[in-house]
Amino acid sequence: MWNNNVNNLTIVEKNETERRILVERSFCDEKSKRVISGFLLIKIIDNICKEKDLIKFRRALERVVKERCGGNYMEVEPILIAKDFEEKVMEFVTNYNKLQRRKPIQLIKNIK
Amino acid sequence: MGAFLCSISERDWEITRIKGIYGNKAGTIREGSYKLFSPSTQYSIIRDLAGMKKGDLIFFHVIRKNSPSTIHGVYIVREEPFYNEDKVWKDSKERFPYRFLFEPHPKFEHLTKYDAYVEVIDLYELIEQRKIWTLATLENEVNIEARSVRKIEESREAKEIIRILYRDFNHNKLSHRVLFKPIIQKGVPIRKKIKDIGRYENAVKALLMYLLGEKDRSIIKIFGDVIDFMNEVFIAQTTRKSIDILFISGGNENNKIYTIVEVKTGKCDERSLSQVLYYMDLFKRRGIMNLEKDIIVGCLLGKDFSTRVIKYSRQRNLHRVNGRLILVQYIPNNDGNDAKFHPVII
Repeated sequence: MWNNNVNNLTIVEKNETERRILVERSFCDEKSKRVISGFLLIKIIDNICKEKDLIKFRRALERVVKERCGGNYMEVEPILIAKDFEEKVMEFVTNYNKLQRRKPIQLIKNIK
Repeated sequence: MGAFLCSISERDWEITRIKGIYGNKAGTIREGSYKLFSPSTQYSIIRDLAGMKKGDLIFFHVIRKNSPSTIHGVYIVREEPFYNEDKVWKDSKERFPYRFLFEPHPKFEHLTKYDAYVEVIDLYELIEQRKIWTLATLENEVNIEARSVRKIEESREAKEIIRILYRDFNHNKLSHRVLFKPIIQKGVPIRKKIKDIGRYENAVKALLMYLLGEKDRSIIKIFGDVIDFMNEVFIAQTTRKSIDILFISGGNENNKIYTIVEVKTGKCDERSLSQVLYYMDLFKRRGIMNLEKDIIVGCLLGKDFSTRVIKYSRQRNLHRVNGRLILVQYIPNNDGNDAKFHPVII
């Protein structure tokens, strides 16, 4: 039996300048061996997220998928946190999430 | 130069090999009587042959009933595909009219002189090892279109088949030399059999395969110099999903461009785009591409494109992340016997 109760999150990459982290999600199997169950790529933008921020974020996602997941986009959950999102960004992400069979890009508004 | 793997029955192999003529059937026996295939199936047969050029490599898959099926070669095309109904083989009803002529490859004549072969299981091992990646199986399965002629990759796959033919030569060959008495035959060139463009998807694909074989200028202008091209390439073995047409282009061995083409008879909508995007992602995971150096391109080919498809493709290309998308429009002309291809400006 898998032990689903143990779900660990570990920061495996941190880019202070870009305010971006890569979190590895793992759980323990029946022999208490750690098994990776995916990643979360999270970026925080203090202001409004513009298209250039989205492009940078997509490039980072591309690199992580290549380097850590053998090209499988289903392994990484991309999360963008910003004060607000430009119309162009919203439109692209809506279409991206609809058209690409990948983990959807989650847009989270950081309302203080 | 291209390479092909053609299936043939054990009964017809000897005549085929001696006369240097291969024929693909035009119909089947249904409810006790012979019936021609539907136009779509006929176009699929034409499509599979349309890209064949003089000098292309040919291997044969001989289907046997009471012993393991075998792969034979290496031959080359001496007369490009044509249509001819003259009787050549023993079948009382089927004339196998979609034909081409071939001869032993002069470089590998000693293999064909003794009809060297490998068992089909050895080819499946190459598929398992991903040394052959364009095929999933040679069997006719319920959920796969029945095909007798398959275009394979020339630079790696054909070489690998030649290698195993050499490997097993001492054990898998006839003890005597075989005859080769080439037949001379002409017919209607296969290009003339491509009609109904705009009506059948396979007709559009057949024309594109033909133009690729011809290194047609209008196609090179859109896609660049194509090194190799294949149709119905398996992208996911278990779900039996296949790419309509795949081009390989690019400067050298270490830097290739793989273009995945999805063909639609009519308008390309978001569903078609979603499909090509998914195939791009799947292809990158198959271990054929060098993820650091090679480039993937997705191409939608259709009569028209929805505004949403154009808009998303444009925005995605502007991001310059994860390959690019191209949209190619075809406009049938000459009563559906021809078409013009134009890139859509995105």
